[in-house]
This record gives sequence, C-alpha cells and structure tokens, in this order.
Amino acid sequence: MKIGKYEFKDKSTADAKIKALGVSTDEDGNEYPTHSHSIVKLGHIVLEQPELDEDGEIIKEAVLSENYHLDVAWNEKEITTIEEEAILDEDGMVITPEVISIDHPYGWKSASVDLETNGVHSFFGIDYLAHKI
Amino acid sequence: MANPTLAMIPSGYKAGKVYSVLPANGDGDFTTFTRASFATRLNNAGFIETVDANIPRLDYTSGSCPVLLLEEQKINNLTDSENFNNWTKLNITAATNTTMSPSGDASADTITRNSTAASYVNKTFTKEEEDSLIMTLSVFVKKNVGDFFAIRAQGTYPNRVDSLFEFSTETFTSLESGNNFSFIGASFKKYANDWYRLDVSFETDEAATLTTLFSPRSLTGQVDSTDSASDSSVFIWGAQCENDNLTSYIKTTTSAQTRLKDVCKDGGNSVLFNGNYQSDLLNPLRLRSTYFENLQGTTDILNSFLCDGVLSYGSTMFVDLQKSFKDRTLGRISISDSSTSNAVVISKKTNNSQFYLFIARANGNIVAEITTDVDYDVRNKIAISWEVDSFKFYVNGFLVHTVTSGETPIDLNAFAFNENNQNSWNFFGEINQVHYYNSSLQNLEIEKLTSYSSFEKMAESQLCNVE
Repeated sequence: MKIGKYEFKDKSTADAKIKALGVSTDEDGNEYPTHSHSIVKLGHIVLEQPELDEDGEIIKEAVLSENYHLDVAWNEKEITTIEEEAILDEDGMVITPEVISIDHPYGWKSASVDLETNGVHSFFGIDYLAHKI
Repeated sequence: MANPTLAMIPSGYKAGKVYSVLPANGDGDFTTFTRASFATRLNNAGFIETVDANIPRLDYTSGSCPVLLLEEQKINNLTDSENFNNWTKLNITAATNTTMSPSGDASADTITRNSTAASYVNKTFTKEEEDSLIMTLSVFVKKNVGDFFAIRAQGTYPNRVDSLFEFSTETFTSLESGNNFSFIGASFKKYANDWYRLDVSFETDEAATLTTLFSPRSLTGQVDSTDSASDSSVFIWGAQCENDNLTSYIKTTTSAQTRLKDVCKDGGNSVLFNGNYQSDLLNPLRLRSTYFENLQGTTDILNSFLCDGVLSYGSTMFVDLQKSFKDRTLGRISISDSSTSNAVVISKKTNNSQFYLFIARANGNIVAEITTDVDYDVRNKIAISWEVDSFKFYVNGFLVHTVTSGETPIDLNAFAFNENNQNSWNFFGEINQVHYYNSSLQNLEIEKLTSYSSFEKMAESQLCNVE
C-alpha cells in the first residue's frame, strides 16, 4: 500500500480525478468504482475551530482550507509499472530482476502534497510517512 | 439431516485467513482475508480491542457466540476521540484518564459541568461535501453525577438535532430545530461495567461543517439549558461521527482516522463444490449436464441410480446473517467459478431493504432469480438449493420461489463475501455461519435450517419482545 495526500481547487475537480480511475454502473443504476484504491474525501479541512456562544451559535466561523482535500491508500499493484522485464536463465532463475516504478496515476501528481506528519487524517494504524508514495 | 460439505462458523482465524469447521482438512477455509488497516472488535472478555491489519474480527457484541465482522471503509471524523481535554470546552472541565474505559484500561475521561446555561464540550469538522448527508454520532458514556446526557449535532445554527439520554430509564428524547436538519433515530448498546454506547443518526443540512456537542445533566434539557446541579458529570470515552450507519469504534488522536474495508474470499475449492467431494468422475451434476445430456436413455439410467440413492446430486448454499449493514453499494455473497459466468448469489440491494437471490450459468445467463423484502437490522437465514430442473430459494423458514427448469452452474470453485471471488461488491455485515451442502436438501430440512427452534427465538431474532 502507498498513501498519497492531495489537494484540488474544488470538489468537482477532485471528483473528476476519482472518476477517471474507473467506474461502472451496477444493476440498480448506481456508479461504483472498478479500481481497488481506498479514497477518503476530507473536503475543505478545518484549519481553525469555530467559536460558539452560549446558545451554540457560531460567533466566529471556522477557518477552512480553500482547497478540497483527499487522502488515498493506493493499491500498489495498480500503480506499478514494469519498466524492464526480468531476465531469466534457461532454468527460470532470475539473472536480472525486473525494474519497476510506482507513481501517482496520471493527473494526480500535480495535486499531491508532501507532509512531514500524518496531517489531519490517517488510515487507522498505518503511518503515512512509512507508506508515502 | 445431511452434514454440510463446508461449514464456516466463526471460531478460528489467523492473519489473512478464516478457518472453516468443515471439512476438517482445511479445504473449506477462506484463504484470503484482507483489511489494510487496524480495526476494533468486542472481544470475548467484553472489552473493545484494537486488532492489526489483515486480522479477521470475531466480534462478541451480539452475545456469547461470535460473528465474523465484515465492515466497509469508514472515517471517524472526530479527532481526540478519547481525550476530551483537547475538545473545545465551555463552562465544563475535562479530567483525563480517570476511570476504566470499555477497552479495559484507564483511558476514560470525566467531564463535569456547572449550572450555567451553556456547558459542553464540542468539536467541529468538515463534511466530505457541502450537501445533506446521513450521519451517525456516537459516544460511550457511564453515569456519574446526574441522570441525563445531552447530545447535539449541529450544522448552520440553529439547524440541529438534540437528543437526551436518561440513564435510569434507558430512554432517548430527541428533537429537531431549524431547517433541513432531520432526526433519523437514536439507540444504545450496553457494555461491561455499566458503559453505554449511545448513537444518534440524522440527516444534515448543506453546511460545510458539522459541530458535535456533549453535556452531562441532572435535569432534562439540552446542552445549552441551565442545570439544577453545579457538578453534573459523566464518564466519557470513544466519540465517533461517521457517514451513514453506526459501525465499530475507530480510535483517533490528533487526526481523523479511516478504517479500511474487510474482504473475505477464496472459501473452498473446485473439488469441494463440484460433486460428492470425491472425484469429478462421480460428480452426478457433471455426468448429467455435461456428458449424458444428449444421450437418450442414459439420463434415465442415471436417474434410477439417483432415485435409489446410489448417487445424490444437487447442492445447497446456506447463510445465517446476524445483521446486514446498510451501505451505498451492492453487497454479495457468492459461490462462483470466480467469474460472472457461473454463480449462486445472495445480493444486497442498494435500497437496503431487499435481497436479490439468483443463479447464473454459462456466460452469466440467469437460470433462476427472486427479489425478496428483508429487514437488514435483524437476523436473516437464507438458503438456495439447486439441481437440474429444480431451483429453490428459502428465506427465514419459508420457500419463497421455485423454478422447475434449467441447467445448473458448473465449475464452481469459491465461496466469497463478494460478487464472484474477485474484488467487487463486498458484503458487509455480521456473519453467524455459512454452509455448503453437496446435495439439494429436502424441503423440510431447509425449512428447519432456515427457521428457529422456538417462537421465542424467532421473535428475539427479529428484535421483538414476547410477553
């Protein structure tokens, strides 16, 4: 698994990127993903909590990020490219292992953000820094 | 009553695998279990414990018999779910780690309010979209000073839902305020040591954020009502706010956390599902539908053997579901050839109130099918039996559909809690047991299998009280 953090200018841009990963339609007419990545929509994340008065009415609005945020746990197999095939001998033993690369899907790299912490969201029990794409 | 060829009754597991009770040689085990993240379960000691990635969860929430817990991906949007001193506080104090929590360690906090009108802890988070969403807010509480606990979920003020739980009567009182913010339901579950998990479901307004507020009380009222006592308090732990329905607890600290989905598949193998678990040569289904189909007279000879009990044929699939979770996608339980060509399928519909049961053969052609109404919140027992020219569907003790012509699916090789042993349409729910029989059981046998041993047990399973 590889984890990526992304920010897009708005929700519709993020949704378009998600849809481009692959969707189909089920028998009830609902769209469902055909990929096996795990996507979490964080939206315009809270940068500062709001202040409420005694009735619970907001007297100072929360400060939200201007961008729309996603965290993605990528299925490594689906974002791995074999750059060079392995070279085998006559017995099938590996002489030179295959060369692979793992990268963001097309169109995602420019939206990726690189954090030095887990940020505002993480996958339960999985360290982002250890699995950063 | 015939013994099942495969029986998975949740009992044994290890990382990446769920063991079946039958057959004893391991051929019926579900050899693929994945969940890329940690998750929690209620263990047999009655405590909530965190389990590592890829560890199947046998959960004891429903009683002394565990269920296999299969859940979808969920995020707990509330950070510091166990540390209320890090929440925003108004006229309230939070003392950390004061008492034993439902996880069995001293991680529960005490929050103590005064008599001022507005006394609460609160936390705001961003919803995944500025739209009306169905969400569930939950928290573990234990009574201390005062008999009430007030909960509020709020969008753009005054749009909100308030719920008040009374410990002594174990009842909720809920009300909506403002516009476009509606109450759906409130319930509780009791845990060891007098802990309650309270949950309130609602449909939000279209605000970008949601604010959650909690307050202990000695009087009835809301989080912002004056209180008679100046020291009302409650023990509190494990707050969670998630989309859709309530699921198992997800611990958070400084960041929101996502539990990833459970996937369970690769149960059994091609030998087990195709014939008498002996050899392909003795598989009557294959003999009849593949080799002798077009030879006049041969079918009669084979039938005579079948009638004499020399051979038996047909198959039965049985599932016993403690609960079927309501989610946004289809969810299937299947025995298939690991493709969409041949399969016997129990499918949850996205309307969350029906099951679509069907049998497909040869390129996915539907041989028999029925859509039946079910209550996802209660226990459901479903069986499908199939043999050439005889397909039967049973739900909770009743034969709901019969088809009397058609060939059977072939080359079945896997029992899976998804569409066809691949990766789509995973089933999410609580599994009591699943069986496969290499014979089509008699009507009385299946009625007994899918029914209950007494009227009381049936009533209990449907969450009814018998007086």
